[in-house]
This record gives sequence, structure tokens and C-alpha cells, in this order.
Amino acid sequence: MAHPTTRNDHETSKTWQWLVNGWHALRDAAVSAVTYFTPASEQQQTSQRWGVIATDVTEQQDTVHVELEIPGMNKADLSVEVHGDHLVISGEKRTSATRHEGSLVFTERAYGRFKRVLPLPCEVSSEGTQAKYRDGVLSVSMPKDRSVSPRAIPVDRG
Amino acid sequence: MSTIDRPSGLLDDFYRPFGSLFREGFPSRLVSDSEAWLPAVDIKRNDGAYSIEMEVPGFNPEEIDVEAHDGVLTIQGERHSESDKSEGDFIRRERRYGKFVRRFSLPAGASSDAINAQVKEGVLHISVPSSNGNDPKKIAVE
Repeated sequence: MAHPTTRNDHETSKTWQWLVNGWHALRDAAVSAVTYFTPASEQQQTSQRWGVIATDVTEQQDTVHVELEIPGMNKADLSVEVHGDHLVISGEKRTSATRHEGSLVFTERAYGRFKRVLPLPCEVSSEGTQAKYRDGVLSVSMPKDRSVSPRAIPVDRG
Repeated sequence: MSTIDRPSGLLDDFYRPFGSLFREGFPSRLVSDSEAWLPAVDIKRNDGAYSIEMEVPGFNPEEIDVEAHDGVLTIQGERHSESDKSEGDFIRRERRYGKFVRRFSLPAGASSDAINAQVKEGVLHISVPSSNGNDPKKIAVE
């Protein structure tokens, strides 16, 4: 039987490890999805500055697919750019035209300009990339770029 | 008559989440599949009527349920991860699936029969009109 102190130490270390793992998972998930919204008009000043743009990225054989939740946008206010192995989504989420009518009781939603840079699992080609905005979800499909293959650099002795 | 100091009188008479953001909405569940979450809302009052906007991106109208009962407005939704999307490997997974429930207490003058709800571009718009004649009236004391 383990000495009580040893067992307690073991339990403490397990709990600690659990906390550390949990914290890392939480930070990874929260930090990347939480996005700063810069107010672009006086009305947007009244909203939250931090919003969550929850994103799924999946990889298929020949494509990389991204889905971002950005409800309440105008299609024209969204910008989608492919930069090698990164996808850059930016835009402005506007407050509704009637926001100033009446009084705001409670606000949790974020408005303003935002930008999210997503690392992709490989290089993709901007040609053939398709983006759709539907029901508040932006879907982007990108074909993998096969022309870019990593070039091995031999390391010589100096 | 004594009143208790609250952050906002309006908040008090309308918005009463059953459980605070700190208890329910901590982002530890951001990637969880099954546990409840709280979609963001804006609530506005105009002339005794209320309008609620809740962010429900990717939800179909059939997946959302709005109900007014005993002065409480309940908004709930449930969705499941699309199976056709699961082909391919997840590199990143932040979107949430499962069930959410939010409840708001309706003000005394709300006309629950005339509540209207519609989803547009991933935003649920609910309007709660005020029923006529429910504005506070001054009663003369004789």
C-alpha cells in the first residue's frame, strides 16, 4: 500500500495536471475564436468589443473547407482573402438601422470591424476558391495547391 | 416604499437570466458538443414594446423554439453536427452543437399573444408588442 503522503502527492499532481490540461484546451479554444471588434460608427460604441467567431476547418483529400459563424452581416461587407496557407476573413458587422430607436436594455453582441487570420493545414490556391454566406455562416472551399512542394535545402558543413 | 439598488431598472423588469453568464457562459464549453450554451442577445425597448435579437448562425427555423408562458419567454434551440461535413478531418473545431436555452421574464405590459419571431441571416428577431392600456396610470387618491 502506498504511503498516505505519497498517495496525496500523486492525487495533487493528477489534479494539477488536469487543471493545466483543461486550461490549455480552454485557452486554445477561446483565444483563437474570440475576436476584437473595432467600432466603426458612433452606434457601434454601445456594443461589446469582443465577440466570438466560431470556426470549423476541415481537410478533405483535395480541398480545405472553412465555416465561420458571423451572423447578421451584409454579404458586401465581408472580405475573403487567400494568402498561401492562411485564410484572412475581415469585414464590418453593422448595427441595424433601427438600433437608435428606443432604448437599449441589454447588449451582448459585438459590432464593428474585425479580422480573423486562420492558419490552414497546407497551401491553397485562391483560384477556384469559393465563398458563400448563408444563414449567418460563411463557408469557404479552397482547392489545395499542389504546385507548391517544399524544397529540401541541403545543409552543408561550414 | 424602499427599492433595492440594481444595475438598471429596465434590466430588472425584463431581463432575468436563470443563472448568470459567469456560471453558465464560461468559454470552457466553447468546443463542447453536448452542453448548453448561451447565444448572444441584444434587447431593445421602444414605447413599451421589446425587440430581442439573438445570434443563431446556421440554425434552421425548425430548430428554434420560442414560447411565452406565465410571463416567461423561453427561447431554445437544438442542432446536430451535419454528418456530410464529418467527411474529412477536423483541423479546428469551435462551432457548437447540441442544445441552448435562454429565458427572459416578460414585462407586465407585454402582449404574449402577439409575439412574432423570424430568423434572418443567422439572427433571430423576436418582437414583443405591448398590449394597449397597460401603461402605468396614476390613480387619484380620494
